[in-house]
Amino acid sequence: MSTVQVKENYNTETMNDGTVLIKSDEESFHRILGNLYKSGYTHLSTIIGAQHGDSLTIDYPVSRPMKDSGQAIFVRLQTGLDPKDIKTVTDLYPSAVVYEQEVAEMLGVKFDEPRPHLLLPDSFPKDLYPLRKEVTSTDIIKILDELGVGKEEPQTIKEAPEDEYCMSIGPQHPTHKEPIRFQFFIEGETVKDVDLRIGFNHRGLEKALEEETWVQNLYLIERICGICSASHQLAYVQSAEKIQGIVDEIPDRASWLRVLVSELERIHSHVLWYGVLAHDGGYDFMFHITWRDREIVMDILEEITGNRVNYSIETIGGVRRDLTPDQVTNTIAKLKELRGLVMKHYDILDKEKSFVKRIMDIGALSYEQSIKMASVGPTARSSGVNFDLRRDVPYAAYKEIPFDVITRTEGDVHASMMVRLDETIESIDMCIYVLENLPGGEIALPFKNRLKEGAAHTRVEAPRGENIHYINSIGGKSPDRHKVRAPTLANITSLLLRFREAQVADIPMIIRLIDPCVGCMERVTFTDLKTEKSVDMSGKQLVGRINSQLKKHLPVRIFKV
Amino acid sequence: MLKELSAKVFVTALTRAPWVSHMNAGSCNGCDIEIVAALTPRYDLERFGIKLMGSPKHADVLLCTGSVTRAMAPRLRRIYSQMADPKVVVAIGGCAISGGVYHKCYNALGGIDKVLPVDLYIPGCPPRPEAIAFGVYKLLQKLGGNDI
Ligand code: SF4
Repeated sequence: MSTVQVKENYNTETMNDGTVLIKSDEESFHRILGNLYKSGYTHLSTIIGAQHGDSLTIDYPVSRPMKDSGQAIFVRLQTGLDPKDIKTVTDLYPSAVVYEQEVAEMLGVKFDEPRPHLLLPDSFPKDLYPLRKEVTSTDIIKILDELGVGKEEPQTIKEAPEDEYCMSIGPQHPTHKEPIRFQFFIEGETVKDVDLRIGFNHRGLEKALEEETWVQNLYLIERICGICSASHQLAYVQSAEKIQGIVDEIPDRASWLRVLVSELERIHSHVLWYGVLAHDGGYDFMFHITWRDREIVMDILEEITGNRVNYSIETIGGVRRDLTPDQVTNTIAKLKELRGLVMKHYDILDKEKSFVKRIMDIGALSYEQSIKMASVGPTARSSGVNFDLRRDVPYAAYKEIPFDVITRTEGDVHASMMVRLDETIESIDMCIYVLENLPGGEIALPFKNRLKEGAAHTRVEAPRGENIHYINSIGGKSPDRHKVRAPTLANITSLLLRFREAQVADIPMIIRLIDPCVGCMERVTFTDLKTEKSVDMSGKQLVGRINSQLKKHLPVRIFKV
Repeated sequence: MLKELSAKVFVTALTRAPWVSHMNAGSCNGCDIEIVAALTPRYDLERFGIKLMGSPKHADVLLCTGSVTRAMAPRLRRIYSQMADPKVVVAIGGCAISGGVYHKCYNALGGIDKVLPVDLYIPGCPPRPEAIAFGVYKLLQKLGGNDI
């Protein structure tokens, strides 16, 4: 269904960025989503809940994960403040279970299949919804402090069913660099079932974003995650520019520099990733080699932006720092050196038999499963999903820069490593191309700390996949709603499928496969805080729901729940 | 006498090869990758006998990052209690010191020292690997007197 047909068939509206928004109500929205699903809109990016005075809107951005897919379409459901019995969409989009739960607990939307708490503890005040406008962060802090949330000692491992043994990995574990908890139920050496617990890294950033100014948010946004900071900042400034209506006026040089920094970030993130993969696979030599060579790209980033990690390069209307001709020549030379080194890594990782055997054929996900679970980024591309936002929904200056989208079909750890290795080389070539063809001119438009009224969203291809930011502005000094969905949350549900019948020894490698970035994922999901009981139910429930949905739609048995 | 001697042995052991364990208590990852960068070949803290251990039970120094989310606070305490004495806590990064950019967030407690006694603060957002190396050097100097 093309956007023209959509406009003909439904009651639509156009957002500031030209996105088509279908207006619907509680009766019709599920049917509309079903129709869209049938015509190829199989990817639900997230669910965006927002409060506007005394009504709530729930947006479902859906898109087609394929070549030349075009913009996403928003299906908007408008309800009162206490919506009840909203139809769940997990029958169409199994991965929506985490997103629905997020809106339920953040904004108090009740879905028709009542579920016990997935993210909030039972003890959490039942009528306190952090993203509602009635409460501020300060109020919430006061309430939580009074209740003593965060004081209790956590309980330990839960009971395993007969014949099985429960093994807890996390929240603090050498395999994870960040807190996340899995509880595996194993029989012998085989994983039978898995419980997932997220929320340890939730800080409450989305609420804080609403309380700071547009300019302060530039720096808060990039601290969602230190590895993909530039992608968050880029998605934010582009959404803001769409609202302001200055997208076409952004100087060319700024757009090209944005591409440069995004690609350098991809290089550093991918090199970091395969280094850590080698480390997890017991190949520490390779880990040290890759991290040694990664310093070259860190040097480049530091020279260009002034910082090694949080680059603070973007601003609304352009970029903050320009390149001198000297820097351009220097950087090209360094990139060429890096290219040689990455080719060497490529050779070693591809040819080292013991390592290849270690990562071959584990944690595989088929194309169908990958589409069904809405996985994104290199993780999806390693399962054969030929989709890359840089090519298919181009932003910044990506239209003008030649590059290939890398895909594989096996879907296992090895395939995802090869995809990332190829992407690294591709990105280095893109950076060299950008530097050699950098247009001249200004680098930024002035910005006066206020945005017009309006709403817009941007999807960018972060190193780990689709990263979506949605901003609603009411014309003030700070956003009315700023929603972020980082790629790891999209990939985490598919990760659970990969553990099916896996061996215990392969668990760290499979976790590494999606390149989990917990910091990004958990701006909104809430912490467990209290009884481990509710927590256990939550993980089970998540898997259980996905199972039952999948059983209906795919002829596979996933987990024993 | 014996007490003095054993204290001396402990200090020597600790300062010659401090083993570290790393704990993320709600950080953005920036500090964590800089810690790893400090341990890998370019900066190579391993030449001072500093080694990253998986288990806190094997470590003398706990490197903490992050603003301490309410979910991680009890875990942080628990990890600390698992470490053998004498033990040292290092808070790395602006948010580990005071909450940093997250000072307004409702689910962040705002700093490692709200939960644990901290011996060394390394500021920065994130601190450069050189800063981490310098901080560690200062710490060793303080522990070992003027030997280092
Ligand atoms: S101090 Fe800065 S870089 Fe370090 S974890 Fe906090 S926000 Fe991230």
